[in-house]
Amino acid sequence: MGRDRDDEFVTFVDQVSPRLLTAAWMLTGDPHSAQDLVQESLERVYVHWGRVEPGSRLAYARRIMANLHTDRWRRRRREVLVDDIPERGQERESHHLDLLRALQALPKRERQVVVLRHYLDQSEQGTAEALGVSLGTVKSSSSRGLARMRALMDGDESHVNV
Amino acid sequence: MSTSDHDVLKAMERAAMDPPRMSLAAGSVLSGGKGRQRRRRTVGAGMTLAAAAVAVTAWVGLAPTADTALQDITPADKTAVDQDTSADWTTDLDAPLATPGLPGFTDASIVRAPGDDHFRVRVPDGDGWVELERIEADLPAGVELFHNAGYSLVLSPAVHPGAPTLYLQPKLDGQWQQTTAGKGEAQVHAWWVNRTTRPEDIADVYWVFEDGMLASSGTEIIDADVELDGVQARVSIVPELDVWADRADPAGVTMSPIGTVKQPEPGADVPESVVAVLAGSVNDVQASGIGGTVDGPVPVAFDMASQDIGDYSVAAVSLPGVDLPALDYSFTVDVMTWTDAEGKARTEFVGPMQAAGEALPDGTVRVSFTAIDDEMVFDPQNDDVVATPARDGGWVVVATPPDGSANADHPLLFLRTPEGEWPAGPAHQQSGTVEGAEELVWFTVATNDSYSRTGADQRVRGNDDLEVDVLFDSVSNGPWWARGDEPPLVSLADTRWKWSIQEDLGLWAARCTGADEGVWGELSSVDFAIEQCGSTAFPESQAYLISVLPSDVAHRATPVLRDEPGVTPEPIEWDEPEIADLGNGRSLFIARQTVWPTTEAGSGLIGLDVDGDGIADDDLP
Repeated sequence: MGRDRDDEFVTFVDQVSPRLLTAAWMLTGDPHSAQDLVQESLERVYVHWGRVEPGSRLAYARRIMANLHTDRWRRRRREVLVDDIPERGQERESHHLDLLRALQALPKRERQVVVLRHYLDQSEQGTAEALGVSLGTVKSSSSRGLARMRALMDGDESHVNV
Repeated sequence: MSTSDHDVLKAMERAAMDPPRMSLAAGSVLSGGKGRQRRRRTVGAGMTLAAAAVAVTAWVGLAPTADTALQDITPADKTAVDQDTSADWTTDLDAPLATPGLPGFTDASIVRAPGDDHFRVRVPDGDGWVELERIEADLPAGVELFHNAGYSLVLSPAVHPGAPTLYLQPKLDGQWQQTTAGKGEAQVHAWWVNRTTRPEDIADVYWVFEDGMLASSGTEIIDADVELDGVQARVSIVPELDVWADRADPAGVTMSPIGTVKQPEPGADVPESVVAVLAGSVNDVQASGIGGTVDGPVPVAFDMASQDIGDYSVAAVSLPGVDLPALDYSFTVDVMTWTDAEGKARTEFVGPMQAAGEALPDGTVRVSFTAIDDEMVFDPQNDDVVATPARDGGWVVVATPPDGSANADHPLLFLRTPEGEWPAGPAHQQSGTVEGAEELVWFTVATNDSYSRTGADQRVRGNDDLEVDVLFDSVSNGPWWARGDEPPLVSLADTRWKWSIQEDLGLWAARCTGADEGVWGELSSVDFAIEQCGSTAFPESQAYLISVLPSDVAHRATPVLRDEPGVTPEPIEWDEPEIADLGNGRSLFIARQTVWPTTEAGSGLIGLDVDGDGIADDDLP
């Protein structure tokens, strides 16, 4: 197994990481957190590499990523966030500001549904399976999530958050 | 023109076409995966201990579930060594002592001459050196403790071959790193702890051998090698502390409370297995849990073989016969059940217990707990919280927000014991949505044996006087809205906050518009939280220090840097704090952080000075 397995895994990482990174960025709102999330997800995929059907590996990675994102229940009491402050004035950020702000304003479950369903192009059933929720939850969360994002991107934050 | 769904999706497409620069090195992922594969995971409380005679480069967390790096254990024979650990020091030692990861200085040296009754440790201080303060205390044989500037050093001479492990009281916060100094008879094992360690925090130093463990204190240890269902378990039990370790654990020795389950992460050389040490003689042991699979979660239960070892039992099961190929990392043992010597059914909650909900025609919801073959009927119209004792005296709690909001994203459980404390935050929490009642959110909490708050354990098991409260935090409704009126809104520091005060609990909470979750603190002390409004992806994202204080105190409060163990603070700049009167003599205090520290230390850097002496305070004046 050894080297062949490792080569196969490295190829897989190269293939899937760009799209997973973007999805993770949308989930976390932060590129550093996104990289951490995808790194850990793919490390966990490696552990089970030989036992997951090749055709299921990407779905498996998505599910682990969603689970990990859910698990990262953060208690910030007495914690100081220590990353450098993000660079200001980047043109890219201004383009995406409204979208990311809207995504981050969503409850975590709605955000996950929106990203998996509408960015990763998962079916409603696939999204439900990846997140371990019912089909109805996917439908309602998707609908609510998009509605909130519309309101936020229209600048009507009070409708969403207050 | 208002934004449509199509516009939102187009915006996502555009963002996806031009994301921020992110990359992963496949080699790094591969390396991380290999390391993860080598490690074993310990489920439940316990402390991970390094078992090596070499310098360790990674901080080892003292948190209950911390991992440690894989280290090689040098096999040695316990029966062949002198069990007298009070060896005299007969050699000259003057050696550098590594300070891995300690910020602020990189050198230290350790000295001891023949006949000296203790070590001396020096660290740089300006152009010179300063000797660490040695703490006089009654410690296990040969063990010494030093303090300096908020961190600690624990030393033990190499009185035995092989690998020693330091066992600190498991509820401590902090991290330590292990290293060695000197060679041969002059070898010393050292643990740098990034907090001030009290002598009573040092439970023992254990020496791990192929055939058992020895305690520096001389405490009795029960060693047993058993093979159960194909699983080789090399178990050492410390009856005095009610902890146990599996010496066969390739990831290092982990001292864990009796009842804790150890479950491996499967790897090429590590059989998939579950091992547990339980109190008393047991029968019909079963480990149950839910495995996440590509096809969705599935309940899994394993019958475990068991064997008595004195007043304890070892239970184990190997899992190759179970259809596990699709199980992902999320599979853990949630619940252990067994029958004790008196024939009484017993339960030990290990992790968040999975449950399934079903909406019934009469408006109630049936919540089924697969792992314990039990169910509760919950009336969301009338019940806020329902708690039921489990078979072993633990508790299972089900709750739902009164308005059925699906946005209650961060429920917090508060348990009050007769001691009057409110251990905050459940150890095992699970939430979900009930099919057919989409707006209903429920969660379960299986209380394990104790919670810790401000260092004091609160025993929960078997406590009939337990009171339970659940407070919900919501993105749309604010913190703890379900327990009183709609949380008021206040604008401070260019941000908007919803806040809640629960006088009977002695707690406050606040949630910034745009934050992922709310924060909370205690009313009785100088308690505060750091909240980040928005996301680090946004230029305007900032950290805010928030507290609720008596109004007269709030007006003289100032954020200051704390003198934290092992941390060299960097300047943090704050905007002028803003204060809002909340009524009843209390005020909301908010200070915006304008320059962020870049130190790797993650917490505890900041405090509030409320008496004007420039030093962070914990107690109200």
